[in-house]
Amino acid sequence: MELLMALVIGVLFAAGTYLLLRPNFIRVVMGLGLYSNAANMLLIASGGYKAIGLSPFVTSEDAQTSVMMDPLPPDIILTAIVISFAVGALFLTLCYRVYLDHGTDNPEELPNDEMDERDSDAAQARAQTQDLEATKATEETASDENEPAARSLPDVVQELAKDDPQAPHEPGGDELRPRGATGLNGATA
Amino acid sequence: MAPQLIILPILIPAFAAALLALLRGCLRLEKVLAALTALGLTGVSVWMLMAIDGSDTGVVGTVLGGWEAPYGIAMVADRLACIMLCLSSGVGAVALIYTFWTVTETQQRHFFYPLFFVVILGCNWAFLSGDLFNLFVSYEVMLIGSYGMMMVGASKPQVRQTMKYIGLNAVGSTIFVAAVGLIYATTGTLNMADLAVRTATLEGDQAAMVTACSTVLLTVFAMKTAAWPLYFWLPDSYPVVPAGANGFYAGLLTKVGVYSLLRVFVMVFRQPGSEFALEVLLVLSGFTMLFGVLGAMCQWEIRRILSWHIISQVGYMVMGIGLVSIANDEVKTLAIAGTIFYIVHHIVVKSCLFLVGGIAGKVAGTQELKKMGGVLDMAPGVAGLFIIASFSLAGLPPFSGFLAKFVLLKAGLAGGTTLAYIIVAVAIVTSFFTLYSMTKIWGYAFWRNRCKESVSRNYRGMMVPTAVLVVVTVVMGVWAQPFSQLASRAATTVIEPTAYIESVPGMARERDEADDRQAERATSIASKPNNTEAVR
Repeated sequence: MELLMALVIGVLFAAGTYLLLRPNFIRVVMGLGLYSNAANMLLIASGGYKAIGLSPFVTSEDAQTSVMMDPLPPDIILTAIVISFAVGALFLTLCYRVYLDHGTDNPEELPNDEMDERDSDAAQARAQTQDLEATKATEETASDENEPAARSLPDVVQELAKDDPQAPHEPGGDELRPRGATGLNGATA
Repeated sequence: MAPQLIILPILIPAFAAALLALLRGCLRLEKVLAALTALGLTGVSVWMLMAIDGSDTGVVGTVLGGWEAPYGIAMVADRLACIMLCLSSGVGAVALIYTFWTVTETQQRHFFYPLFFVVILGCNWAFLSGDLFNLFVSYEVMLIGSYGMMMVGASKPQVRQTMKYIGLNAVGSTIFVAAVGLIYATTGTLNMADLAVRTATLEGDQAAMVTACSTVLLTVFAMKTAAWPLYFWLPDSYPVVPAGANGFYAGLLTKVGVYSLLRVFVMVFRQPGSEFALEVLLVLSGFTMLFGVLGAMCQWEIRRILSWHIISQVGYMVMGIGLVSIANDEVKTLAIAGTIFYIVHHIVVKSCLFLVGGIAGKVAGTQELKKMGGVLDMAPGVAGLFIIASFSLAGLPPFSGFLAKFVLLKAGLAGGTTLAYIIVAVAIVTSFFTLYSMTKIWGYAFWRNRCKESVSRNYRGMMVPTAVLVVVTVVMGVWAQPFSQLASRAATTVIEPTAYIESVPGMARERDEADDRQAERATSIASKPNNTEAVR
């Protein structure tokens, strides 16, 4: 019985890991489901499951010698099921929401600008970076409006951008490039 | 104090959250009630710390429903738990008052304040929990609250990041349940006091089995703590948390993981060979410090820099816990006291920096360093708060960060092993890098030419709660003795858990019978290999 339980738990964890690593939200949800089932099976096993065909809460067929099984593991499983069900439902809702927002169920296709600004701003910034003419125009108007004291700012930024190996060296692109392009997002993507 | 009163820090936020959810739409009333509750909760926590610190044993325990240990669910408040309660309630109150200036009406209508109290509830519950499975449930309560608060308002980046955060934490929770099952299967109990008694008497294969199971738990806690190599979720998710609330997140949530590591791996697992997990932690701490600070150095947004610094700072606390692996009582006490002092310092300073970063962002109109400038000119007060908090974070005297680092480094040098020396060296290097990174924020955001002409004046109110935290870090640095002595007293209960065990009703008798039962269990295992649980 132990070997069978160990195999079932192992296979469930392995299948869950495989599904979690798929680039597809629904598979990730299913993987999480398999994970929680595997953990619950592990808890059943930790409560001392006796033999195939025997009621799970007694230790032997014979009423005289039979002892009640430890009730704590089923109790823990109940709580764990409720929690994983709630989190799973929330996760599924979020997957649908992300699908509605971005029209994809592939996490790798999600946009990478993880900053606070609203997506519209980011999209605008991206469009500006793509269009160099527009970028220059924006920069010119920006520097026209500013005081002389503030006019040095783009120059300073430009200088710093040269030192920053991650920054693209296109003129004026530094300030207006999508924020996610620097730092961690680029590194982990 | 009556032992049952220790669950007040759990009950107050629970009822507050329910009441605030019912008051949805009464914007002003909701804010007033939330602030009063948070301040009241802080008062209760401070009173508990005073009462418990003044008592003979320094620990008060109770079991819910009157079922004696090891069957009832134990709640235990020792000095360490009370310190953590004061921090979660106090920093919670400060961050909550700060959000009055930042939270939008939409966010408030989406249950911002009830969720805030659910997160406080989860944290307080985790600190008081005297049972591993209960700890799991409290983690879930805290996480579910934090999922909600992270995506309150539901903008696209928030939903995206929250989904990753939920996915990772759901995996972590599953591993937590599995670890709990494994530990129950090997030891037959989940009550922390009972575990401390039982693991101390284990030997041979059984002890090795418990050590193996405990490493599964180590993985979970390392993930919640954001220790290397499981830190990648943190810098992505924290910047999307609404301003103000992110101060609370940054201060508290990862520290719940550090607290659990301290409680479980130092106090609960006492079997021979338990140093293994601590040695692993010591090695991880070096990587955590270094990778965190290197990550921070290449960021260009205030909240991201600060988020990466959380990771490197967590490394220091994990280092303190790891130093307990050195079998020398003096080093152990010093390391744990240093860790506790560091936790207090870190929660205060890191929350403060996030709040100052929020104000600076409001003054300059962005938190992107390359677009910022002139905050020193526009809002000198904010610059003053920032420089104190950032010096404290980097560990310059006379602020609290200096003492916290000093104690930990002293413990490391007193430890005297090669590994400890290497980790101390890494810690010192990390400190310098932290200072560099803070200088970068200072140079770009505060010192540079002004980035805009008109400055809105409505940041003034936000400075009050932030200033409270700055005052705390200065006081902790200048008038350090009461704090360091409290940390030392708290450390003794963690290292020598006799008082903790005896405080849980039924555990004193349980411990006296432990030897007998150990023998009985041994024979029952020998005769009936599958029947250990039934005997219980």
